[in-house]
Amino acid sequence: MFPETEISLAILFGLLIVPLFYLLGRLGAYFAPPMRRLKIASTLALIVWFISCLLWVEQMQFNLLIHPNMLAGLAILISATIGAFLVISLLSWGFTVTMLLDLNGLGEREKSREEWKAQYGNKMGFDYFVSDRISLLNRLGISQVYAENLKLTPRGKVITTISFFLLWYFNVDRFEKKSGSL
Amino acid sequence: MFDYFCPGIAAFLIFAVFVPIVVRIEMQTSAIIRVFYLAITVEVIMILIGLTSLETFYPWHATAAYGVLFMLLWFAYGAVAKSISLIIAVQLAQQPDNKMKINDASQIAHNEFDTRIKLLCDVGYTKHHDCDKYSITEQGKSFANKIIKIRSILSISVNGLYN
Repeated sequence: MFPETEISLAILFGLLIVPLFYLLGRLGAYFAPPMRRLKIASTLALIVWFISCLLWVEQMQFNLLIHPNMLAGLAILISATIGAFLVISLLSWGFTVTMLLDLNGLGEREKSREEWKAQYGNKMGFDYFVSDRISLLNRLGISQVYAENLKLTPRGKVITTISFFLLWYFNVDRFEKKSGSL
Repeated sequence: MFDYFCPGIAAFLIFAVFVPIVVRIEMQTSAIIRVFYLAITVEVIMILIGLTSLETFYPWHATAAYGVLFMLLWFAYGAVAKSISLIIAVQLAQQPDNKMKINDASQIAHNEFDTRIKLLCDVGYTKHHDCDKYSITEQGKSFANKIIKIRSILSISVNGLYN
């Protein structure tokens, strides 16, 4: 019942992604952006896992990557990377989390909605936030801006069609109301 | 190769069929928690059936396949339900000619801000006062401080913005 060496190593290196992310954060400004750090941590985990498999696993074959144990290990490392991404993106860019942190930063006094919005993103303001998210859509090729208009690209149409299906699939409106989660 | 991963993929397909049903059931327990229970139940049933009924069953391989597909689905949920960018894109897709004024897109984000305020009030992290004013509760402060601590440990200094 114990996992094969490749799978055990994948579990070990999957668990090391967040500690690696932490250690990279201590190395200086180049590693400050969380997404860059996560990419490096995940890639390092993948490379070290692969090298470890080369060194430790007997019966080396040329079809190493299509070996079931290697594929299972790869699946585990991908799962760990997605898990780490979900947590780190929530901490870094989570909308509701950022709103709560901003309100916390404003102190005890009661604040109006406008004051709260002005505080968004460490006082960058809500309008800056909106342009930040629109520029993300543009960078990902989902939309483009022309003459004060935002227009969906063909790629955007594909992505939104999938999104419509997923919104139905997860019954998202109800999810939001019932879940009470952040 | 088929023997190794097929039980995991089959279990995920069964799980995926039940997700839309489970999230639509009227219950006190939150939909997210119900989906997690469903995922664990399907995994346990897969292992029990695999160990008792299949001639060759590799639980770790099957679980790896099931796990990665589950994480991809979870990622998709996070994107469509929580991402403000995708909320704007979805609204954009509903417009004639798939275009809208930037100010209208901005209004969508403002509306979402209001929705999240309501969510924060519902979970007890913020309090709504007269004259449309808000304050953070002790519970909210405690949660915010935990987040700040985790962010500090992980050296995360971004402020909710990509740029």
